[in-house]
Amino acid sequence: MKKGNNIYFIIISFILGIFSNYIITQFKYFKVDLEVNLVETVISLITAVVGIYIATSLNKFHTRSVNLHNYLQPKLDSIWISFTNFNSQLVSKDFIEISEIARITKEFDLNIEPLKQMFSSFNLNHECLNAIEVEIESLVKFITDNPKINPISKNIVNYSASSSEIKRRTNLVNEKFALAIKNINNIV
Amino acid sequence: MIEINIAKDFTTEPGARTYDDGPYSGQEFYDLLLEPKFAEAIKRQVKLKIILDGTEGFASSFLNEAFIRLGDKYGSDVVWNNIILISEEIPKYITKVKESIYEKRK
Repeated sequence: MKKGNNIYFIIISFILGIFSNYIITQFKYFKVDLEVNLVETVISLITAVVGIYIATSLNKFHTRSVNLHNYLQPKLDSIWISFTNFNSQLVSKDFIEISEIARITKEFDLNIEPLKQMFSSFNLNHECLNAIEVEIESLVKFITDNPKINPISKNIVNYSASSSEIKRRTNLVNEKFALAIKNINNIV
Repeated sequence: MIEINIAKDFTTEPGARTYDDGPYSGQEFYDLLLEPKFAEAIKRQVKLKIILDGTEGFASSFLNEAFIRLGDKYGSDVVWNNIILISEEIPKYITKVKESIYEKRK
């Protein structure tokens, strides 16, 4: 709705509010008292003003929440998409270069940190983002730092023996992403 | 002050933990740069500045291996009090290094 239309809507609602309030307070045994009672009129006016104040405050709060949601969700979505690509890479092969996994992890860290700062600046709990970070670190550590299960040679990790465990861990990361998205949706 | 810039002085693509894992491992970094430069810093009574920015990223095993060795050899407090870590890109690398310095090898 345009700003101009919104103002007209508020003014019309304001006048209708005063009028209906006046009629209701004057309603006695199906007779309408046409004399203006100053005290009751003032009370009606104050009630209407308070009503408008509450309505506009709620509207502002809702708009702020929607904006915040629309700002944060695409950022988390893009991080999730990056993780999904990484996951596809893990599934499609049974080896990965250490430099590749380090690059992906660094990119993830570079993206999640500003998002955490945004959560903090809007007084939102970023525990859900910490949980994603912990699960991804755990997954990467499992792949790159388990030479008995995932041998490394020439900086290439072979994880063919642990594909089911990697799948379990990537599912855990996806669960954490889903929880974070749910938290962002709860803002609205 | 003595300085090590990992990206410039060692590699932009650090490897994994040991020589067996491949080139540019944490062990190699420790042997070629970290330990000699730290020893020199201690000898000259200056701090060792280590710049972690500029690489493609670190496998946690690289940092862990290099700094756990340094902590084992010189003592955790001595190492921690004589190095300055710079990691503006990923600040949490500093926490990882500190954890490694104070970690005891099993």
